Amino acid sequence: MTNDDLISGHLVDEVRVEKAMVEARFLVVKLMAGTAKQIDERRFFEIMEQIDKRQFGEIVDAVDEISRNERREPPWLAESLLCIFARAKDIEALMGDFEELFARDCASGMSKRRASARYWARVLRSIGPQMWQAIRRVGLLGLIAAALRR
Amino acid sequence: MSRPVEDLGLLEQQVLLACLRLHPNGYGVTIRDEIQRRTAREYSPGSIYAAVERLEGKGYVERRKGEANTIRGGRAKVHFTVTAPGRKALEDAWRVVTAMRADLKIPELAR
Repeated sequence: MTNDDLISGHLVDEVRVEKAMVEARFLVVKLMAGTAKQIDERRFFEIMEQIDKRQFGEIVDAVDEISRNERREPPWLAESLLCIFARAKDIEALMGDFEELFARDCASGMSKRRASARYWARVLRSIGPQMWQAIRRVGLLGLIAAALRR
Repeated sequence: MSRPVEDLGLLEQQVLLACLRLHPNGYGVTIRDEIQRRTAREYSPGSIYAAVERLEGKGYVERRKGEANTIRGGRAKVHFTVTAPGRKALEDAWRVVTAMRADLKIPELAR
């Protein structure tokens, strides 16, 4: 069934509604995956309008579940590593910058695995300069003590 | 020739110049992108922040907390601006290089 069929046809029987729901979910997943420019959002919402409210609720629930599974978050271990060496007043901004670069990689169509690998690479390349600054700031023992506190 | 205020490393100079170019919206990601776009050198965000920390210590940059957004996981940006001593230090750094280049017999460098 094409998008045009979904829009112009009358979704009266359950089978057709079910197919519309499958299509709608598929389009939502594409939207969330950052490939929204490949679909017509106006058509998508027209499709959604043809599905009754109860079923719309089911789609929203399903999409929430997909969203939870598909949500792209940076690797937590790399984030933790970064926190150990970064200056306390820089942590928020620095982690925000890393997350922004990660989100940019994901939005460019990169796989999560590759985006995570790039995130790790940036963190590992950041540790040296950050550690050196920390040693200059508080000394090696101070750095170890601060890392243990965190 | 007057003594330079304080020596600036190459990355520090690049960060100061990027902050001047991006003023008033230079923050970690945009500074990094600006340097990469103009010099093809890709620094890690950690390197940028380490340079900024040194510059802040010398009083050459100031920070200003910016807005947070969902792309950044709700974390606020920190914008950096170059102070008057920072501009002076940059001028001094250029003056040193210009003085060393003057009358040089190597055509590519004397240009």
